[in-house]
Amino acid sequence: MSYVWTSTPTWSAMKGIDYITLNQLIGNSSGVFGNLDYLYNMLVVQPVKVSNSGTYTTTSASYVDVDATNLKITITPTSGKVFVIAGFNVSISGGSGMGFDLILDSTTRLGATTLGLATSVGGHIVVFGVFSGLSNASHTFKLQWVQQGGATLSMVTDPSIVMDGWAVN
Amino acid sequence: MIETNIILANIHDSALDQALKTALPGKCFGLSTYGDISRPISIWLDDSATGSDQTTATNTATAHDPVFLSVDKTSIVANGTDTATITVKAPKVGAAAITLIVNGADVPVSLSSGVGTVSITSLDKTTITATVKSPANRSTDAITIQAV
Repeated sequence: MSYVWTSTPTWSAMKGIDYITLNQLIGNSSGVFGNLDYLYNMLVVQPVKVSNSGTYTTTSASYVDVDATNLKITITPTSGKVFVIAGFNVSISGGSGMGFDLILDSTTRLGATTLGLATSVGGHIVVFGVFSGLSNASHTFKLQWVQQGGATLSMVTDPSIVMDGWAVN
Repeated sequence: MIETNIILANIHDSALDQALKTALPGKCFGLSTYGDISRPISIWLDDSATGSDQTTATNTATAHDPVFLSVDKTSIVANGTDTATITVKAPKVGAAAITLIVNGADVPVSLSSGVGTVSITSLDKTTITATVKSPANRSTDAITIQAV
């Protein structure tokens, strides 16, 4: 499915509208994706919430998925851009620090090399960002974390972990 | 990165992490758990890890025999009667015997259904520390009590 934005024409008195242009502007039930479909797809949110499911932990010294099964969203952008946001609560035992990031298609992290999009001494954290230059095809986005200095990180699910994403222009 | 999975009911994260990194030096990044004992944990290995390394990882995890220490108070009066109680938990079925080292002295722990206690008193103002003897793949916990 490929969404293409059609520029609206300049209307003038006595200027008629042909069905092809109308389908491009509105779309139809016969598989023509018009501007309304384009806008609707941008507003389709993929919310994820994990609650009351125990505590995630990691001792990984390299970025790994917090939960590749449940903390993942899938979005098909229309303009090659996707906004992703995740909020969670984390604590640290031992070690020296931690980092959090968002990863595209299990291959490309959004944030900086060492500490990703955020670091903390513990507490509530929100990471967010826009992935751009994407193909207008289905992409997955996951939350990742890493510990530094031999720490054990814990991410609770009470309060909930929330993760949302949507296509943007 | 290679992910190896195993179901493990009870985990002392830092102890198992150290055991894995000792068994697989330079090849193990660590481990992750998911809050559900029925869900396999992840052991994260470098891309250079072989099938034999993965077997070593799962064997190390299978042998993991966790011990958890906690204490009800970290300060006692040095009068010989004020008591701090260290609780020792070894949840694995068939857990090995446990001995604590308390200020250098061996203190065997009697377990009932995987739980035991050690009472600490002191006549001297001092710092009392307690750790698990032979802690490899069991525990990294350390208890500190101030007798004041």
